[in-house]
Amino acid sequence: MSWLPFVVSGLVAGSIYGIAAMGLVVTYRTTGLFNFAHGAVGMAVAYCFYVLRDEMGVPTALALLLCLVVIAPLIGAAVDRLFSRAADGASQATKVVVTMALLITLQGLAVAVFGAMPKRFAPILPTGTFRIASVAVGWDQVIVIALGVVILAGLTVFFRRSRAGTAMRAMVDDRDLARAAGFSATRIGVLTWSLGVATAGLAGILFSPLLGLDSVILTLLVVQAYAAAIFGRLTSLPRTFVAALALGLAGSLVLRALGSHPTLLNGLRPSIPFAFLFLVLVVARRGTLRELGVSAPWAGSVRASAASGRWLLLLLPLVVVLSPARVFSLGFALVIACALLSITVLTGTSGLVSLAQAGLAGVGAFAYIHLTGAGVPFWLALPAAGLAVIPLGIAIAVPALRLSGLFLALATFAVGQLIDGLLFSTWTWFSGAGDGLRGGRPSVLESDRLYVAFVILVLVGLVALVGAMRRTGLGRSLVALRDSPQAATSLGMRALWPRVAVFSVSAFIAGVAGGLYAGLLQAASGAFFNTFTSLLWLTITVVGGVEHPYGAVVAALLFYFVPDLASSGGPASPWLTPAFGVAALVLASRPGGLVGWVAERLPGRLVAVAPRADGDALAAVGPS
Amino acid sequence: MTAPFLSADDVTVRFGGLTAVDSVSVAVDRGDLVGVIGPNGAGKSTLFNALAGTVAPAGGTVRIEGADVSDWRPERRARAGIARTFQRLEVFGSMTVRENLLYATEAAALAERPWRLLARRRHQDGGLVDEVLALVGLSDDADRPVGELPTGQARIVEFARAVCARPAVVLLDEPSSGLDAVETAALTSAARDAARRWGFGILLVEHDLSMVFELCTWLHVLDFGRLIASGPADEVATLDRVRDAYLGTVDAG
Repeated sequence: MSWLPFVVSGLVAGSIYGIAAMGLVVTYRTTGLFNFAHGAVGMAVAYCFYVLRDEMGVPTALALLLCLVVIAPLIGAAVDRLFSRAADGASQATKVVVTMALLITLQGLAVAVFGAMPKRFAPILPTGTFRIASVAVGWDQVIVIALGVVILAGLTVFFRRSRAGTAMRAMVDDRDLARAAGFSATRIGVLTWSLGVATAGLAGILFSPLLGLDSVILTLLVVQAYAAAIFGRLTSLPRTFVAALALGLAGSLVLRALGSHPTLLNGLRPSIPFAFLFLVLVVARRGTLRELGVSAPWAGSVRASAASGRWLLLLLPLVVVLSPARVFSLGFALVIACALLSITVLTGTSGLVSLAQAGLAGVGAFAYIHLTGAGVPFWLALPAAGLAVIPLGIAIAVPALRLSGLFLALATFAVGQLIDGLLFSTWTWFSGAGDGLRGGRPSVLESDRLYVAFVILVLVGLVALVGAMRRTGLGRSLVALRDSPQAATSLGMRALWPRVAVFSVSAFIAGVAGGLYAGLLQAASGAFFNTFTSLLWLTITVVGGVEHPYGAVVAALLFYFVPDLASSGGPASPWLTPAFGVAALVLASRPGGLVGWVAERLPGRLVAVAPRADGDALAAVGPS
Repeated sequence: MTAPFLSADDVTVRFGGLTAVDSVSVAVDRGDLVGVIGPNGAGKSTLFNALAGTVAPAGGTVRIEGADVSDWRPERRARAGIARTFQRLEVFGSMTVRENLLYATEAAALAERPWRLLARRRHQDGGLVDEVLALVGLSDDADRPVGELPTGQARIVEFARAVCARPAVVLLDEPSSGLDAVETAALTSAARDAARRWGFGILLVEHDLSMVFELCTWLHVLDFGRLIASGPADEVATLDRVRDAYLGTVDAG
């Protein structure tokens, strides 16, 4: 088959990426907020279009107009309100969490309302074709490519020439200055987010006929625009658009080249933009990737750090009392609690965000399965699963050295996607024949009740590990680097070893959790440990409280166990995910989360918020 | 004669086409109290940053005890004995005052021997922290989180933290910004007492002349990136060209 049709369809996909990516750049440049939910917002607009046209019978052109001119600005205004409330002057970690929570909320809502199955989506553009050099080219393809170029030109002129465009450029540097020049911050904000939502929505609507209307695919496909936007250094529209075209082209040519190797293709093709994203982040020259806008340090406190985890032993009687099905579900929630602790130890201590934690846990699960499969005793295989993940954690930490908040989060996002695409989907070591691998338990823990009791003990141990880490020089250095990197540097501290160490501890915990997961389910599948799970885990941990280890436990129980108690065995309600998304939006700026909220109101300090003089008492006494 | 602890020899810093600091030489030794003054935009902060290591000079040399450290990163200079404060307050807001100071006593050792990151015990500070707290008047607030303190006290914490790093030279970058006259006076006397007690030198970049004359015995005057005068503080103050460039504006204002 000829290459030319693939070039054309590659440029079409690239142009759609480009439209979305330019919207991302516009909103980032104006507000300093990188909207991880950009794709999700576009997905929401595409669903609105579907409802208007396919369910209510509105003509295509009118439906499109309504979506871009009425619905997009409405959503834009809502987003502006939401973000300016939750993220203005917040820490970079909070900003990431807020937009992530919006992503989870919107995607969850789409599933709750429309179901998880993709919807058929009729074409919106004319489907006729014509021939160039014996290749059939669709008019729709020409229109999409032209649309991308027109939007590039339009946005460029708008930014350079119009007063509103100038004000938008001024906004991110100095809100007061823009205000003094007679621009209302709210109006500029609404205008910006409307533009952003409209471009994302247009991209979503253009994509849906190609792939069907699918909330996950749309949320993540437009997310691929991240790579293009980063190549444009989040500021240059032409660079962004060119990079998007190149990415679309690369994806299409890989399809042509690997069409006969479906497994390899399915893994490699989606990974291209993320490999590209990771590379651009790692090789970017110092100073070219500048964080825009004002960010405060992470608003954590060291007070909430030390918990021994002994209160969790109170869960042990449940193992005896509950029905077998409930015990299993409790065990599942507690295994996830272990995994969430890997987020607590990283974000709650150092204010850094990783979006790859589910991938790390997945690698731990497969390491455990292969180790036990090779005859390694359980008691060795479990910690070894944790150790096996540490190199991956370090592979994230080393680029993290040069990258601050936002760009680190993006790099971890890319790593998570690469683990998903290159390891879980492609490499049979991680999937057997594609349907998960079986993992064993030791004979002592053969029964679920005993195994879950063991999980509780491991959880207590991991909580103690988090608490112990925070009382070391490492814990103090991480807090110092979080509160003020400049001050820590001025005292002689280097970020290298603390970063490597905290990512290692986090990866170890995730790996052990993965091993426990494989032991509990006696199987593992890469599908569970995908990037969406990473994003969901971050979101629910924020709800429970990202700072205190008990926050991870509360979050996991609330999400994975309590709904099961209420629903008597049926599948969990689809409203659960969006509900947690909304809760995370509310709690994003409070590292205490639910646990902190409760602890502040408890008279007797049931949840041990560390005593004031903790550090000093230890300094005097030393390790015992 | 031995080399002064920290010196800039003919240091030039350019930003694009703009020469912010033009072959300037200054030196601070243990026990010296040196001030750098000059009107806004004279290059004071740029010179400061070149000494601290956050700006790379285009020409000239920064030396510590005679050795060329021009390409050393700030944290390495810090471990060699240079402590500093920041024009825009930089404190560990979630830590208490005491924890801020304790961390200063251990940071350099932790960076040099990373395996000690894993130890729970803080190495002994030999009572230094308590002594510094008492000297700067923060003993009563030692267990309050710094994020809760007013700017005046937070500035003193920042200075006290620099002292706890056991430096040979402390660089103070506009320490009076955001402070009223009483707070400035408190900081000035704390700085003088601490320098006398522990014998470190101070290089002060400051626009508040009362603090400069209160604290410093030796002055450098910068104007348009060039050194226009250097000498004992009382002599420099009387020079006509210094009055023209800078001091005159104080009388007028």
